[in-house]
Amino acid sequence: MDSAERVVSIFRDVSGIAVVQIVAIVVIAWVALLVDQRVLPLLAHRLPARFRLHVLAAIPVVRLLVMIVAAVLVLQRLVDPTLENMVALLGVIGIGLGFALKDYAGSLIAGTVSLYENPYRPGDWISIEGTYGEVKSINLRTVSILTPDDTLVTIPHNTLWNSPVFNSNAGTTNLQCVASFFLKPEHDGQAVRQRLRDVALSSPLVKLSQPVTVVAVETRWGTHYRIRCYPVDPAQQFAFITDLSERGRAALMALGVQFALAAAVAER
Amino acid sequence: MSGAATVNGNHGASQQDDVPLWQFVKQSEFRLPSPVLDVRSIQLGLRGFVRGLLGNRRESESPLEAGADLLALDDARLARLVPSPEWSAVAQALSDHLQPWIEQQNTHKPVLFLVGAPYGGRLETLQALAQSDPFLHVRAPDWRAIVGCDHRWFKSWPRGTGVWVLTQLEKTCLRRPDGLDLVRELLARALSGELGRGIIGCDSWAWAFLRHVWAGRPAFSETVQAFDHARLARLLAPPDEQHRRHHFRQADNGVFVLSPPRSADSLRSSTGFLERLAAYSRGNPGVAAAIWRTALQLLPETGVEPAISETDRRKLDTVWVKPWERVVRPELPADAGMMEAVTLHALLLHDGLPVARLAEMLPRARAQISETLLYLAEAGLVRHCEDDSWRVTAIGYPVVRSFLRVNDYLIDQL
Repeated sequence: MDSAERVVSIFRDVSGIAVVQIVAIVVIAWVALLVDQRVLPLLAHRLPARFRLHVLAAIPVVRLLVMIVAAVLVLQRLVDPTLENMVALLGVIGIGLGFALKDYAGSLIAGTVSLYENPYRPGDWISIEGTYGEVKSINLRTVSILTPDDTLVTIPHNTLWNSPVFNSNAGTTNLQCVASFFLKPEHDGQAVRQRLRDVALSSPLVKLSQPVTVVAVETRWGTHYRIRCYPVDPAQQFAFITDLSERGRAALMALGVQFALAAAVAER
Repeated sequence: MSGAATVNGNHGASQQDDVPLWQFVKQSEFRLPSPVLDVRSIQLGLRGFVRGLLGNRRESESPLEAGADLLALDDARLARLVPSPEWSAVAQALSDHLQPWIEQQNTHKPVLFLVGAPYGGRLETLQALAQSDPFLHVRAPDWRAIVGCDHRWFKSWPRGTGVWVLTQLEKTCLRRPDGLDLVRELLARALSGELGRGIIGCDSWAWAFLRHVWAGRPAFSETVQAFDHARLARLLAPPDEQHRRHHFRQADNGVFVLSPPRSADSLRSSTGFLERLAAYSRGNPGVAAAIWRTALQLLPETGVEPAISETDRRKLDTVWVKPWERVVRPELPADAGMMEAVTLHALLLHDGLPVARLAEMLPRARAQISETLLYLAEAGLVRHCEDDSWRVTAIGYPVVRSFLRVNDYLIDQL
């Protein structure tokens, strides 16, 4: 018996009933995946931020479980599950993946690893290789990120192996935002810091359960102030930074300090 | 200065009761009414479900004839049946409660804070207190003085031996970058004793916010204790009118919600309505009274009970209370989002604001804010007041608070 015949021999003679069962399993799994992919995100986006992230994070896990269960049930009906047969089957699959689908398999494995390591979850705001956006979905092979410009970027999971992933909120609703102000050095630093703190405290979008800090650094063109604080909802981060910037500019102008705009632009 | 101050209920039954109706306690001693009703409602729900499954539909237990039309009460009738508390008496109770502190001349506490939730009676009590001797009323500054941090406001501060009362600390600040300096200055001066001895009232939402603004964190704060169902029953019991006694019975089963005043033992509501009302309103008397008003109904003609005599029928005036499940309470619109949240939050932090002030605080144009307010008013969540400000309604307050809590906005602790 040659190797091809040996592989073929591990498969059972599939009866008509088994075919019907397999089709039923595939259809049920497909429906379950559809619910997982379509209904759960809809449900999640109707929930407050604190619950939304938990529901979104469950989507890839549910999908993996559905696929594993479906695969096991189908294999049970196709293969006599002895140790010898399973080793032979996995060996064949391994060789196939190794030669033909190496990158694809790498992404699949990285995708599975990502479910355990959680470098990103749906609802997280991440940056991978310079692309920043909200994780919309974690698929088998890729992660989809929606950028603030409304561009959907699809990144293979195997980028995980050799690229850093910057996660801004890591599964929580706490996402720090920074608003910068560039001032000429002739000013009262304490008054500016107090006023910038009040800028953050008075923003209706600030999450007051998280700290508000104002930091300053001297540069060769003046002083660079940063307000570091958190919005109530990570999805409002851009509206929040806009609000901080507008309030801050108005408050600093009222305080009579001068902005070092040209120098700051040159610096950047 | 511990425990509770006493103001008996509006009427009758409370005289037998040793528990004070209005209790003033330290904020750390504030206790919400226990949500025991949930178990009861589950029991009732399960019983109804099983009965439905078995097809054992009992006839209505209500003494009302099937199809009887109940009418909502007009304002005059509501004012008689659910009168406002006598605030001067509540203020007297607060004064008695504070008497040890008032008499202490050499105190390390120059200022006391009375913190209360919206509609919780704090403002009315302090307004009444400020009118009585030896208290001196301090008026809140104009908004221009707030944003300009105008120290001339302190020059008009009452001097003398009396205790001054500032009823609304929330009206001394505005949530904008230039609106927080005056309240900091006030707290610094007041807590140092520079302004003499005084009582400062503060809304619980502003209090939560000012903890982030004022690093000093003044610790001496009192509050009105939450009303449990028994004290709510006394609060809501109307005065006996001449030759008339009002009975409050649940419309679907006839059970007394507020018992006849002579029966002190039956103060406990057997329908569970008052327990639910207490839990839902978080023991807030103003919120509870507002919901209570919407639950009351009358038959077009009173005297529906055939078993009683004509004489008793004349004396009795039965008010029918909707079952808790049928009491209509406002809800947040399904599409309520960030704009609705920040608008409601700003209104609560300042205990009401005019549109012009809101437009200076929120990151939206005035027209858009007006639209949002009208939208919320349509849902019964805010109302336009006589002083041109907008406020969250008493009946909408619980759902607004819950909405802001689940969306991670800063909420009060009461």
